[in-house]
Amino acid sequence: MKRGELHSTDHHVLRLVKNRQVIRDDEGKVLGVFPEALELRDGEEYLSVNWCEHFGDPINHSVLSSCINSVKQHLTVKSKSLFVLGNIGEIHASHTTHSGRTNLKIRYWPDLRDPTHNPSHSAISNLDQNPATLSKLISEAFKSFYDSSCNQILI
Amino acid sequence: MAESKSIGSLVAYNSSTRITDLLKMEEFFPETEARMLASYSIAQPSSIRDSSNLISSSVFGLSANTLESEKQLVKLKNSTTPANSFIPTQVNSLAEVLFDASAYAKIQISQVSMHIDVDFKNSLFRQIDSLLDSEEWDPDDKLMQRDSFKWFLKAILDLAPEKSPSLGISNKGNILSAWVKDKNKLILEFFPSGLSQWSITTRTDEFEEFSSALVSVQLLKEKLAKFNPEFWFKK
Repeated sequence: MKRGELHSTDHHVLRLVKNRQVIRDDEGKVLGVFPEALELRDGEEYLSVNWCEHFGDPINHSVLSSCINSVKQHLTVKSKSLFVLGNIGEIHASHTTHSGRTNLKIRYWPDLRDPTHNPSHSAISNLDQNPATLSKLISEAFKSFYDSSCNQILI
Repeated sequence: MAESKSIGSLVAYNSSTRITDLLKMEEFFPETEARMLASYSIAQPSSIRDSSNLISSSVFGLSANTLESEKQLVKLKNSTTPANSFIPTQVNSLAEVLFDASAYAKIQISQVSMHIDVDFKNSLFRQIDSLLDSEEWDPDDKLMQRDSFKWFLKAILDLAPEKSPSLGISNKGNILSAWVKDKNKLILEFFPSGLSQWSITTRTDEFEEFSSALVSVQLLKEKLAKFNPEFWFKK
């Protein structure tokens, strides 16, 4: 499949969130994630995510599970890491509303030169790094949380 | 030789020789040796600093073994240790570096523990253990910045929340703290420079409000006051 922009607003992307970016209560129960989970690292041009519908459309538990398992094969996923699921349409809407920008791009972006590449890898570019935008994105567009075994975490 | 011996005896006798005195000895000793002695006096543990044998051998450092010992000591003094850095070296494994970072944070908390509740302190300890767990930590991630943690503690003492925050670490190694109540959140990020970014999300049935600003930690309490922080801080 070719690289390119993901236009379907009812499709989803999955973002891996590390333990240090998860908000937990005193007993370890997940309360949310810090908006910094969507922050770019120094030198990063885009936010790495995974396109769920690459494994089947429409999305269901099996598709999501395939996506998470694929990520686990390509990245080190620790036991306390989480996945947040975002709807592409809601990501665009929230980002435009709170950043005032309309140039956000969500693209299917696997590294095709690498024969062992992550097949669902995608990229969110032109993401506004303002804390207000990131905070709104987390609360408005990345609303579902899953553990590394694909169990939904209810908050 | 007789003169050298007498100088050596003088140094050996005054094992607690002051730096200024040592630097004055430049007229008697080669410059590097005098500075080396001064540096030993400043930085080495008392057991080494007060060793008459060591100092006198530095003065008479004629044998190859003695010079080599001195070189090794200078190397030790200048090497990166867990005491001054959390950066993993070839010597320190990731687990050791994380342990040191965790120990540092706990020592800092303990130093102000008389001002905070025991449960609050224990909660911070548990979270630090969880955050810096070597099983969970990605070796590519930047470790907690010490100064960021110091400013976090300063803010905790100023704000005096009853409820302990949820802790996190940003990509830049800054301490993140969050108080969450229903869908309302207060998040603080502490920068090593002494600035703090606060973000408040309050949600009603109809809409969500968001406020955020970058302020000095010294002014954090004053700036947050109008947002009724007790809403989050009360147990």
